[in-house]
Amino acid sequence: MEVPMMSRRWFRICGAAITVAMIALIGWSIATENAVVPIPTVLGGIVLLYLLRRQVKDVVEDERNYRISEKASRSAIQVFALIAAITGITLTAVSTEDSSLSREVGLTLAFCACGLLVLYMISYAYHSRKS
Amino acid sequence: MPTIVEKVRKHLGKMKNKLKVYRAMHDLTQDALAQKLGITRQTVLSIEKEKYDPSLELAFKIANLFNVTIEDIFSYRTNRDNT
Repeated sequence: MEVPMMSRRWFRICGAAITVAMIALIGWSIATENAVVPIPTVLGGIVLLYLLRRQVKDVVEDERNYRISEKASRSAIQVFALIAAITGITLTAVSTEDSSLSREVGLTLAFCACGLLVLYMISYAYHSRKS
Repeated sequence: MPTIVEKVRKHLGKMKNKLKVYRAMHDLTQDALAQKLGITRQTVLSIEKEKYDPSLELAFKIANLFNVTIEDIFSYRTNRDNT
């Protein structure tokens, strides 16, 4: 059976609808403390979006989109790493023996920031060697 | 005496292009041109408004499409050129 091709506009609408449905399902599973639903929801959403993407006849992304993504990713990483590191260090520093939760949150944030920066450095080195 | 920043600024230029002119000469819409080049209409619009400088590959594609050289469509002007 041949599936009709889809325009870029319809792809965006369908993509947004799938994303909203995924968020609603994940939110519902958190509210009802259901740990099984989120995994198939995310996987199903990714597969559905991939299948939809293949049906689009128009150009969905081009070099300008890639360049915008690069800039957006770079600034998002910088902002997140900075905020996570400062918040993490502050929480760890101000935590007392009674407030072990703030220390744990602080350490988690600080390690997240470090992990992200390490991942960025590895990715940078890989792409630098490739080009 | 000009500072280093001022000196650099003086040398900074801007890409100019005549894409809109060539598109009109060939009676093409932004959509049609985008389809021929395999890019989105927004990218054509951004290039025409000189908000986005295309890659060398895309610049060659555009020049080949209109059967002209890259220099016919794109030019690079420094601030010194304008004064």
